[in-house]
Amino acid sequence: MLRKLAIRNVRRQLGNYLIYFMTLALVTALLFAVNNIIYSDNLAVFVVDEEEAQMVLAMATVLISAVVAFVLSYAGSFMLRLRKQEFGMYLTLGMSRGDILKLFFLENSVICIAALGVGAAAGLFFFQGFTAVLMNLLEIEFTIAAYSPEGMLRTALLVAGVFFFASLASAFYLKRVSIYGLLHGAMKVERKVKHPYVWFVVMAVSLAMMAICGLAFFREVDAIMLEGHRMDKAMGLLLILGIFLLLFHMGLAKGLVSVLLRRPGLCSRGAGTFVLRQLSGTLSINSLMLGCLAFLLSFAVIGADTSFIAKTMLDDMLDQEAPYDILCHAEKSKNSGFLEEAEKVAGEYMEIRERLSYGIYRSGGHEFNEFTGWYQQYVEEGRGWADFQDVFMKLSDFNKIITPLGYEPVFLEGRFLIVGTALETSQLSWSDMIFEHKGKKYAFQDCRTDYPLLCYERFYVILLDEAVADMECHEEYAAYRTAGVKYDAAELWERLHGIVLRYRRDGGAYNCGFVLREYSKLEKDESAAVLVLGALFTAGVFLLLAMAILALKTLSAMGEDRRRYEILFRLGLGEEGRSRALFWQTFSFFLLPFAVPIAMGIPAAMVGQRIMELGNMEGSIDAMPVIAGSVAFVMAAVYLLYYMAAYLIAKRAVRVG
Amino acid sequence: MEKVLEVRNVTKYYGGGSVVAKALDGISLSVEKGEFTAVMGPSGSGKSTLLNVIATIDRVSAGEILLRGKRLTEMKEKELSVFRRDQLGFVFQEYNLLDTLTVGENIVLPLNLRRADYQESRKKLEQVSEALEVADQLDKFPGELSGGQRQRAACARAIITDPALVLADEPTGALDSRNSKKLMETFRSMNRAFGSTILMVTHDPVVGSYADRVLFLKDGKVWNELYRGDRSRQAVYREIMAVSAALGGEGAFMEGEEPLAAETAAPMPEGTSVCYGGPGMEGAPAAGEGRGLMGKDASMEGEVSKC
Repeated sequence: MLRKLAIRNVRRQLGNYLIYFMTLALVTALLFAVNNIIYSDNLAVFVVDEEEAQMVLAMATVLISAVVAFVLSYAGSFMLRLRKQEFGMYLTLGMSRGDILKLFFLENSVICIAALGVGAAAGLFFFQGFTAVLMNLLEIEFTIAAYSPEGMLRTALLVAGVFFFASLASAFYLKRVSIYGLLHGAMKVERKVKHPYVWFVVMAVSLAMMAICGLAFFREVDAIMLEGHRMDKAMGLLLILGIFLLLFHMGLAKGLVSVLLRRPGLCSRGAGTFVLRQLSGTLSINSLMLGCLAFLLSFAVIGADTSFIAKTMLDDMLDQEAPYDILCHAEKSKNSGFLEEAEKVAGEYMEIRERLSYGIYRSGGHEFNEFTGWYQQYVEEGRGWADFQDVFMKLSDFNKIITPLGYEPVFLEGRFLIVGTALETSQLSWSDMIFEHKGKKYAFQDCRTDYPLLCYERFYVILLDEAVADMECHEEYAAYRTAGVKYDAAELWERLHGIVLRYRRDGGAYNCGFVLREYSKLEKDESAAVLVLGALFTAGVFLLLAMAILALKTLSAMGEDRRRYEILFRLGLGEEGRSRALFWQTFSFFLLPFAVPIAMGIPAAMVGQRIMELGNMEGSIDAMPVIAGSVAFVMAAVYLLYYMAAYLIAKRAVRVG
Repeated sequence: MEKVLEVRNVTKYYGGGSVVAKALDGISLSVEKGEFTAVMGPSGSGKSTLLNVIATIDRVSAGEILLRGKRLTEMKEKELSVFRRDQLGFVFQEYNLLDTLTVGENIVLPLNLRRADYQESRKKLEQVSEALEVADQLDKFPGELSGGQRQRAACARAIITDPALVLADEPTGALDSRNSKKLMETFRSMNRAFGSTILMVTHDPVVGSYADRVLFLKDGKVWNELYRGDRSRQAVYREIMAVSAALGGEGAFMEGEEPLAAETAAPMPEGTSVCYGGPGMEGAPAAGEGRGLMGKDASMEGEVSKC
């Protein structure tokens, strides 16, 4: 009998369960897709470090499933609230609490099984979509990916776990609530917000603190990029920002509306007071929830922005860090054979079209290093000079290797040029420095940090060839341009690495090395893929959950709102007026935890621009607002979809006449 | 006297196809300015339907309704909303106060919906809340008030816009006898002090006895009509009882009627009569003209009986 009633109830409550069901199905689809990617055989081909990628994504799914379970149990309470009179009636008619629990559990099982089915079906497509994104990020040609039984099983287990946890929370509520509470819960006397002005001040202070944290974070980015600060302070600032974000939303929910209500002259006209009162009750009760949602949404926005910014940065960094297809270097005195051997092995994998050789020279002095802070620091620590000998490159060598990369040739008229590979180099005041060598004086011309990595020193000095001619050639470099045919970069890397280890064993650490562009690209693409996929998955789930909570919360109150809107109808508020009031009531509620997070895209884009600017990736500066705008657009589109669904259902629920 | 409300030959059907119920059967009546009219009748007589179609909450199937000369039956939904807002005041059995608004906000809501000036609204709120004795309850929420206080607040909301007509649907339905009496005194004071025209549906003869005029409905038609004239409320009450008995064939046919209070249990005075009649009460005297019971007119089907 209970089974029959449960199925009938689900059919009858289909409209109310729609958003709950949609959310569960979409989350299931996302979990299905990500789990299949984690356990897909294709992933082994995609990534260099399969285990690490698997672990990161697996942890993300478990963590997110825990958040889903928590949020859905919260959402379940709205479903209960929506139907509490019905459950109260069952109790009054003599059903036991156990029967009602079974009924609710059966109903939820029907929904869960249906959501699992629909979610898995949608997940089949989501998986192919995600794989396509992944392959695109890895620049691999798209092929239909195979499904993994392990991934499917893991999805079913996670969804079952989520469902079990959510049902447990509902069962707990049903076990405790009184019949009176179920039947007359709607008739509770509204409690006024205590100390609304205090909350208003909390809101204002939190907003100011958020702005201060944002500015401090912005400056900390500079310090990290220019002075090599650690990330601890920046992370701390983000944490403080998150706390004030929570407080701001709590203050906004509790303070603003209540303060407005105390100024009836401002907004009492039309249905203003009604809308504010509707909001006041909902917002003050749910202020913590709204703060948490704002936190989740901010996490989703910033996470998605950061992942795309990082992807852009990684793409740009490849050109910076590996400008040539292969770049090998070796200390001349110890490993001169390394370059030839490496070239021979590389030739087995690719057609080498051009070899550009250049050298790094030492004068034996350390005049340039004396200008640097790190030099002073090392001297104070009593460390040797050897690491801080000044390093030079011939102008002709420099022009030879930068012009094929699209840079203008450099002209020096009796001056020197400093090329920094560390950003802090550009922060030093070199302009007063005069370099004396062989009786000639060279003045400072420029300090550039925007050239790609062509020498593994913090900075090197470009001088006219004749000035360098008599210096000792310390290190030899060979840059190779190839035909650009695809090859097994991982295998070549392994072989070259083996050679490096052999030479280092014989000649000491760091005396030779190589950079393989294709392998660097693989590594960066993998990082970008895991980052973007993880961020998109997290952002998608958080957004869905937040929207579902807002929609369910709105709809669960509609039973009570219907009567209120009917009174407005009788008092002469026309359909247009009622629709407007409903719009403001629901839209304000939806907008409150969404507005600030979506606006977070602006500082995220600014930080991204600053990072690009400082990292000499000017070409990507303009991409930052586009990334932030695109993320905001997609999130706003999902938001609008949910809002429209909730609004239309609510409108139908309160329709009179 | 100015006719505020005219109901002309109004018919209302519910249902469709083979299952059709006639709730109003060509009913006609009029209400004059400043009149306090009660509509009584047994269950299913059409009194609530009559109130709903006058309130424009429901549409008529045939006939027309005019309020201050305007044909409500021809108005569109948007015009009707404006009409309800500007011309009608409502008092309902379940108070229909918005639980999320304070009493003061509830009372002033109709003025806000009109986008009235804030200062004027405040002044008007003070005026009606003082008159209806809810001035010290304005900052409370409805849930914090007693039933009687809530209904007085609802009355204050109904008259704050100076509507052409106040419609009350079983206003004492959720109140005990003491609060019912107090509310009816409030209605009378609204009628006298503010000149409100009131049309009230009730099943309670005691409540009906406060009205200047009582319309009895049966099967969707006006079956009888009583005028208070100069007579006491007790006298009117006895007449209502008599008509009720005749209408329902028993002493007290109305559902949920309360036991007679001592003050209303006196025997009917000499000369009291009840008019049995069907529709067509055009010859009835106006309230306060002192004609006592209505005179017999040509359309009456029964005879005037002496109780």
